[in-house]
Amino acid sequence: MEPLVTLTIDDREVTVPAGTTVLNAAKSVGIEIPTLCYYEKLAPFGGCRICLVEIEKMRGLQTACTTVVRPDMVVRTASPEVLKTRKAILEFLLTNHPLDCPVCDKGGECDLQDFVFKWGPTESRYIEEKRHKRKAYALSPLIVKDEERCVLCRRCVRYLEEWADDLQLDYFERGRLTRVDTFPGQPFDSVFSGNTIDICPVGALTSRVFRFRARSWELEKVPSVCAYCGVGCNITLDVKTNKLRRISGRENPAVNDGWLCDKGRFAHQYIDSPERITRPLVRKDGELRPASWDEALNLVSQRLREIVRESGPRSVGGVGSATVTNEAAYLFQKFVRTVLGTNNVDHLGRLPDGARPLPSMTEVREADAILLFGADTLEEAPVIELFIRRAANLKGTKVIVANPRRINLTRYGGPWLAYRPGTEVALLNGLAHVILAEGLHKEGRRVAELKEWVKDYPPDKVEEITAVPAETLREAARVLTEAQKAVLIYGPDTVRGPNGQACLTALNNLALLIGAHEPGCLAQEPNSWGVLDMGLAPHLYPGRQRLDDKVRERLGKRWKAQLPSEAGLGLDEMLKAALDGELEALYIMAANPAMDHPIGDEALEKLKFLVVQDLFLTETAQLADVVLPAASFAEADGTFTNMAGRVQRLHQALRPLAEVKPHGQIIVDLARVMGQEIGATMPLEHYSPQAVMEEIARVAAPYEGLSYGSLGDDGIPVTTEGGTRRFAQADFRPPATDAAYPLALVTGRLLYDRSPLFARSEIMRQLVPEPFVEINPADAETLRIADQDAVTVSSARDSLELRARVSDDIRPGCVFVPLHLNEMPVVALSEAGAAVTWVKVTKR
Amino acid sequence: MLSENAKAEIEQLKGKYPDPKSALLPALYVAQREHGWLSPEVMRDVAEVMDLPPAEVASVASFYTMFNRQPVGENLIQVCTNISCSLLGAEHIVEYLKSKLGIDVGETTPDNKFTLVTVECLGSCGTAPMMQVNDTYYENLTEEKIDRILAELAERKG
Ligand code: SF4
Ligand code: SF4
Ligand code: FES
Ligand code: FES
Repeated sequence: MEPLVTLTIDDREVTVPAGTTVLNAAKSVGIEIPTLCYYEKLAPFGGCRICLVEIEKMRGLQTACTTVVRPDMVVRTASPEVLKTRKAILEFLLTNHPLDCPVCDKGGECDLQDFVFKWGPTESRYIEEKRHKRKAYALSPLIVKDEERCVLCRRCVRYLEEWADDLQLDYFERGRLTRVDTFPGQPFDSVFSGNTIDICPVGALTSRVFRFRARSWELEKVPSVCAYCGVGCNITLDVKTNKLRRISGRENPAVNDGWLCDKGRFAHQYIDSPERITRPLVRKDGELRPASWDEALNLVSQRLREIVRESGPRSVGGVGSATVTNEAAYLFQKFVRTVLGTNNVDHLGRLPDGARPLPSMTEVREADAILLFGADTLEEAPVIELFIRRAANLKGTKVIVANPRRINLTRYGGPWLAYRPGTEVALLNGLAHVILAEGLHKEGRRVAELKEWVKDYPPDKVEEITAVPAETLREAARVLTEAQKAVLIYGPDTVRGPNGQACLTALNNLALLIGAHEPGCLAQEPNSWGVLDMGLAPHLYPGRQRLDDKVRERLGKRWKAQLPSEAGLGLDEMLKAALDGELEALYIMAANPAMDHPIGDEALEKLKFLVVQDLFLTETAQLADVVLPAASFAEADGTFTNMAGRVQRLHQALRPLAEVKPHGQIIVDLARVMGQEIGATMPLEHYSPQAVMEEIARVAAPYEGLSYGSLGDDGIPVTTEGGTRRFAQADFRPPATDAAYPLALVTGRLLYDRSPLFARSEIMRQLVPEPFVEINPADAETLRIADQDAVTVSSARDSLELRARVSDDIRPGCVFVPLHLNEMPVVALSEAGAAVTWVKVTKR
Repeated sequence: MLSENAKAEIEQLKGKYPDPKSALLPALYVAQREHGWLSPEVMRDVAEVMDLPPAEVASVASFYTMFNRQPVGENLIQVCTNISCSLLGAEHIVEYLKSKLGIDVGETTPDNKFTLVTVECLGSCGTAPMMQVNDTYYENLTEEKIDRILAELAERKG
């Protein structure tokens, strides 16, 4: 317990923990003291003097934001002296302020405006010419700067220093010429730039995307959740006349703590894109033509029914995506299982069985060592990157990076284990070996067996296999074992493929050895975790129940349907079956396998019937026979379950355009059309996400008792059962090599890419880099490839034409090609299910 | 770009302070001595050697008037126009220099020999009016003295 201190503020007795500032003590009893430079999440600065208060026995006025309470202090926040000084400071701030509130985007939510209104002078005595500085110039394509409005509170600079650890803005010149700016000629291109808009107390930093699109008081504020990545940042959707005008961060200490990345904040213009599909489309004479919902749904119903009748329910399947809500995913699998009568249901990017959620954000933020295995938080989970940078920067949290590619977090020197792709298990076994050999493991573990299992992985041998120097391995082991609170995070691709399960086992062994929380998966999609909980997988019912007879019977009763007993096909198998002509129809919801699956393109073309519901005519939708226009995340209610297993509520903020319908609604409508004809009972005539959640809460154990009421604005963590945690043997199998294709392909996401939604977000898409292949200088030299050369990257399966980026960010022997950047699917290079994709690079 | 020698000198300077960051001002001097002014490229190099964000380096450089952020001529003439010098005719000195050199304050002669600027007190009030050319003080200035100084400087090899 912190000792308490009692003091008097404005004649009221206040008791607060020692160390509290006068400002916060006053706030705790509802006494308002204006602040400009002070910001809750930044270290106190004491630079603006607007918070001056009178404290008995102290000479002069004191800054409330930096003065710490003392017993029996007597503080006055509104004495004549204080009010006079406050007024003077405000008058002084206004002498050179442009007072362009009528055309300032901050107007209506500007601290300076509010303070002047409350405490400022009504008239200015300053009649001289005002100081002129630069107005409305671009600090980046996203941020507009107005130097005249800046009150030099230094919040933006301090935030970049304390949080982003990327000081792209700073003060320049001095005295009355002081201004905030970037290094000459350098754009403010941090992916965390937008947060400075939220924290700037005035309109000096404003958003290019929101610019002049509404006055703040006209906006209806709808709480929601970002739909771009698995962090699930809490956001506010600002709406006017049924248009989404702005997204800003919403306070939730358990998730994003108010911060956002620029993708989540700015990349929403796709919602208004003229390319949105607004009416159902039906293929006639080889072309997709507008049709009515009746016509489209009847056609879907009739064709699916025909195919099921002729070739059996095994010949149809459903592919969903982890970008839709729990409610839509739940209905989708229910539709496939009850109406189509098959377990052929899956989604793109499914997490492997055994993957576990991240520990809570609080645990991640409090960690003193983090192992990031095959994951890049900057590109895949930016707000977590922000938390890690802050911890590394201010607390010295160690960040151990295991990745063939140098990611930003390697700059903390944590060490960096640049392993050869395919050798992950050997590397992890090697870490366990060192820990055991040096006796660094937590006491009381029964390690005899594990010792035996990893005995063949001494550091020297691991160096030979993985190319990670023995000394680096030892250092990593030491850093991990010295930590009090280590957190292990892995990327989903690390635990996929033929070595995936062994990798998971080896990660678990490591966590157990050092007494860390279960390793957590950096799930990439906004609802990766939730769609699995909803049973959007061939082998899982809602609540991740296995398809056994008992569960089937119970669910069948509840769903009033005869559930198929035959095992279903997963996505890979469905597409393979499509290639072989055994699967004839697919129903795809919000997924783009034509781009994102190695054989997606060819397989879909073979189908007799393809239905796609989505926002845009993606590569997949272009192949469809029927395309159904679906709503965006802002146009429907629902929930997402984030990468830490937290269920959070999205509120509908916009009425869908024209004939667009929410994903869940489309499924319900189609089921109704089909239900009448195939006689299944579907108690789902109207799409009420809330009612769907109630049903989920009854059938999916971890969601038991959940309701929209109980979720509130902050969401609730659900825990799905993990396996028992014990040591197990993780076998390393050296990846097969191919002399004709000597380089290992490393792929990964970039935050700014050409995926369907981002690429249609007008301003943001300027920031997407040109497609490239990153190649180490050593390999480039052997191949006589120079930076920016046009090259062909080919594997035994396919080839891509790209530009070379010669950089030692990628380790020798590997090339890095980002996903979703070029028009050709990168995944087409890979054999589905191969541990490593081998390629060669040739100059064109 | 910063020469290897300059980089080595800065590395050495870093070792002189408990916090290597404190070597930034002397480091900027080293860079300016070598290049005459601090171009963005040079500041980037300094940032790299100092292991500091470039914006911070540029910020510091812009705070001090002694760092040139524009190219200057071979001879940087800084005339004090603060109170003591003003009382003793600094304004006239400035005017005289302007007409002699045919440039305005803040400008450089076409032959790149001279740049003229005005500065605040240089701590030489007892010998006002005065000016500083590169690292040398010239005191108790008169028109004749200026003629002589300029002639001398113009002859000196760059
Ligand atoms: S730009 Fe805004 S946040 Fe930054 S110093 Fe100026 S007023 Fe403060
Ligand atoms: S970190 Fe992820 S969830 Fe958060 S704003 Fe960015 S994209 Fe959205
Ligand atoms: S808020 Fe206290 S000095 Fe700025
Ligand atoms: S006033 Fe000129 S040197 Fe002091």
